[in-house]
Amino acid sequence: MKNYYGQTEILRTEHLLKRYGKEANEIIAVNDVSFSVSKGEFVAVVGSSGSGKSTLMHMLGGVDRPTFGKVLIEGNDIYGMSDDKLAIFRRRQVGLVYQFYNLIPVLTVEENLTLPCELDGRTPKKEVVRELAEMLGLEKRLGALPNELSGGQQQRVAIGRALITRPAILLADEPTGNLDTRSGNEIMELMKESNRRYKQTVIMITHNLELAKQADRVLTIEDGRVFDGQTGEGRA
Amino acid sequence: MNVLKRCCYRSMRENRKRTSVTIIGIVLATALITGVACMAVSFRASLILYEKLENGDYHYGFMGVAPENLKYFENNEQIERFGVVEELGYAVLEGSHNPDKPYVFVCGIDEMSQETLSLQLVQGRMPENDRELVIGRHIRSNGLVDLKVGDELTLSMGNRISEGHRLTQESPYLYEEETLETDFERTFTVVGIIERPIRDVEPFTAPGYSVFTRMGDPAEAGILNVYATYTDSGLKQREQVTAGILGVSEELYRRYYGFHGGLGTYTEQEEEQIRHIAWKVTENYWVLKWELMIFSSGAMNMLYGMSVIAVSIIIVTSVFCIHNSFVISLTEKMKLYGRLASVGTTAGQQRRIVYYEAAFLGGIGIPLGILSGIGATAVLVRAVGGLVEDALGFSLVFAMSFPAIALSVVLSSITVFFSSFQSARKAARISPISAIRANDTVRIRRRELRCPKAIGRVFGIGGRIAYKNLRRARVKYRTTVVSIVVSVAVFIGMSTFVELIFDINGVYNNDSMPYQMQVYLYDYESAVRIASLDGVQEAEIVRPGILMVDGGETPFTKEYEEKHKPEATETIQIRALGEEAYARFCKKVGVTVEEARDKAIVIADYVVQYKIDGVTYVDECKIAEFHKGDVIIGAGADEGLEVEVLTQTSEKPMYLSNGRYNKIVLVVSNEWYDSQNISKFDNVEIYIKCEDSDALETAIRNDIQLGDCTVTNYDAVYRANRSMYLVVAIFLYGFITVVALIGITNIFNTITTNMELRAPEFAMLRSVGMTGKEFRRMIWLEGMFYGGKALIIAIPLGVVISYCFHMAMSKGVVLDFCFPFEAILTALAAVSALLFSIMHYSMGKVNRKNIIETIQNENI
Repeated sequence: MKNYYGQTEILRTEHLLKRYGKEANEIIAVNDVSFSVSKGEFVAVVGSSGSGKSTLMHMLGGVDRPTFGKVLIEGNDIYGMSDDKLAIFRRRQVGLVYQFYNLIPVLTVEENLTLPCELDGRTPKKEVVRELAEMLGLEKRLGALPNELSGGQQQRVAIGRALITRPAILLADEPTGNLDTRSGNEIMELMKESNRRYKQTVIMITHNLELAKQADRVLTIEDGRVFDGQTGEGRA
Repeated sequence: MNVLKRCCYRSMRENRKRTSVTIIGIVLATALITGVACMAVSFRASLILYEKLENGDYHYGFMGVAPENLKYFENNEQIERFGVVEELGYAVLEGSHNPDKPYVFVCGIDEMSQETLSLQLVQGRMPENDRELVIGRHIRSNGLVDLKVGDELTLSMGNRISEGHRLTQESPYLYEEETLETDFERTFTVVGIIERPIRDVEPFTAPGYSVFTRMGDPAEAGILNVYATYTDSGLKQREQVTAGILGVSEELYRRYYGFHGGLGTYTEQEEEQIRHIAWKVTENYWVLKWELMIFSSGAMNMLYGMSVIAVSIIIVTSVFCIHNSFVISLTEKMKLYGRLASVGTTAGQQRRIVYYEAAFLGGIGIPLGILSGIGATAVLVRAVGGLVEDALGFSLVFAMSFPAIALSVVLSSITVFFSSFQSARKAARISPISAIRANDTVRIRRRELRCPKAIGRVFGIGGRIAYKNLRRARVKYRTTVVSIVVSVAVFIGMSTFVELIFDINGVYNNDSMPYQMQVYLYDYESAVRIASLDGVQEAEIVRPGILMVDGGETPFTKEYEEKHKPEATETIQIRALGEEAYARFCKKVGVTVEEARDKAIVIADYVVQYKIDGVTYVDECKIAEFHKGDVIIGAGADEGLEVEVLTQTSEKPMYLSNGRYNKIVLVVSNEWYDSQNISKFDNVEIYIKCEDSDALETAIRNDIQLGDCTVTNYDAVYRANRSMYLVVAIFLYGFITVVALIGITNIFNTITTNMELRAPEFAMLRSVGMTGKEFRRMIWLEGMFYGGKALIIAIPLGVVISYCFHMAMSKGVVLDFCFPFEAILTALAAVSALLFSIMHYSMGKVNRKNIIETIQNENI
């Protein structure tokens, strides 16, 4: 599906709303958000703490149901699917990277990398794994367990795991938030590399404006509302 | 192995402690189920063995089979084996003291018959030809004929005839109405002595002592009795097989023998037909009953009913406890499942991980449990075998059967499946977001977090956190609380139960019992003979009589008159105690035998216990007040009998010291008893005090000079009862121990895992400055809170269970309800020790961890 500018649209949200609590305790974390992302785009979402970044990200990733609105990935309304279908869709089409890596502690680096494929009953080709490991710089640590890796290395495994299925879209929630500057820069490079090499669509949530500047497009989220650009000079 | 299984397997390996505790839980549950199954199978096997010994090792007996009809047995596929017995006839037993058993009944047996008739050789060997004989041991003990191995015996054998009919062993001896028509004479050598044969061969009322010689060629024999054991398939269609041998239809066979509601009506022609091959068929009822388990029987229903109840309790407890392990496992793995879900596992895949875990744990736990169950039962059977023999009269043998093991496997698998079922469903529902945020494990409501101010004031912040945590994680602690409640309540109830059975036993027999043996017989001389046997320490030969006196003349006490309103004629009991006992009694009372000789010593106490609504009342008073010199006038066989009162005493002779009494008793000398014409009874009772009552019993039974007597060995009765209760107690305590162990594994699992899950929280508390002391206090308080809560529920519940046992068991026996203080204190101490050690263990683990590492580890 092409968007207004003739680019292939990969993700679109329509009037996305997420509400927590009731009555006096009601919090609207994401408020009527509609935007679209084109294939191969690197989008950074910036916002202060509590602005609704992570909630938005979880809804885009298919792990948290919106109170209202739609998320369409490659034209599919992901919340119109059954839970099982959504799980399968998620493991094939969406790669998720969290601030706290969320690796499976009992699986080795290689097993963590290939996990989404194996859940699908597939064994990824050795070359694919090797190529990915090389890109991640983990070719010598494939047999290690997550707790034997540094934070940067763990995050690289998480990114590798998200990329192994060549998902339509890579969602990264503060991927550098828990890392030192050097490791953070490495991760950023890695994501840019995958964006370049695989034409991978990347949506990255960050509060680091320097990193955000490296993206093709920056969306700003404030009080649950999303604006295009860093300062909110217009609706996306 | 796919990645999810790998994941699950490794996380089990990571948490070795919890995995092994869960496996231990499964092992215990399976072992218990297997143990119960093996025990039921062993009991059945032991009973079959016992019945075979008592009634013969065969299924059907065919009486009066002609030698030419043996072919129906020989070529029958449904018959495993059979023994043949030829009835050679009766011969007079010279010197038999038993007037109802004047004969020996000579039978020829083949080789197989020693087995089929369960002939148990006591001495010597079995006969090898038709000139050799084995005799029953009871020829000596019952007939008082002194026959030994090596003795020669010439017997004139023939048939008992009455009114032209031949009589069998089933017809008792007909005095002066039967004759023995002898046909032939043979001299035998006694080569062996056997136990009294089974009842089917020699009924209790049989007139002949069975003796056995070796049968010649069956083809040349006269009438035969065939005892056949069927094969398994033959047993399944036993009526058809039996009817087949008889050459009649199954329907006629059933109708003739009145099985399955058959009417037992038949025509003469049918009777002739069915009696053609064998004139009578007997079934070895009890052996069949236990082997086939087809008949309805109270004992068997009870045995299987108890097994079903025991297994149900085990399954419920185990499901509860093992289920808890899975819940904990799930709580622990919430994050793992969430992470997996975020990568895209489906609900089905998540569910399957739990089932895989269950299968893995069951795969290890169930075989181990089966083995340990079998082992434990084997040991238990060995340990209690002797006690069971004392109690029930048959020895317990260990047995197991494939179906029982298979059933145990199935039941254990069901237990594991049900335990994991809920967790599997929960696991399937875990959504990535809730797991990532970990907000499903702890759902907090504001009102739950209100803490009574007193707790804060008394215990400080640690106390408040402990209290709130307890409120917050109610579901988790509920398992711990319920585990403690179940174990403690059952323990208190069970211990009361055991105490009660020992008490009841003690009411009937206790160590302070004044005599160990009581013998009833009919002549005084035999009684004196028994009293003089070796081993008798003290004997009281009580000869009873009565004297009817005028109630108006009797000096009743006011109290007795008011309460019991005596009748116009009072029956006074008269007892002579035998010379020695009388002398002893006189000494006890403080009078000399000489002055007492023609006088009476009066006992006039009234002691009766009765029970209304669980409360015991003792009604105690003096019946009458006699004085020295009072003359009691009454009627026995003669009118106007007089006896002068020497004294009234509250001392009791041996025979009264254990009982309840409500009549006036006159203790008199032998001379007076013999010389007076009071109403006397024929029976003599001897009460004996002795060290070795078993030896004395054997001596009495083997004394061939003694007439008919009934021996009650209270020591043996007491031992049997005590063994029975000991067996019951061992089983019950064994049961409660394992149930408690399952509970302990459960509590251990819950507490340690919770502690570990809360490690970051503890680390945080310590990082903001909670001291070690405060921390410890907080943890102890938590332990106290739920230990206390559990005990508050468990103790009253245990007391209620105890009371129920008391009500159910004290029917007919006077027992006061004894509050189970000891059991409560034991439970209290055990629970405290348990909680202390588990808390100590997990606290140690938490303490060893570095604060910052613990907090950071959260993020891996």
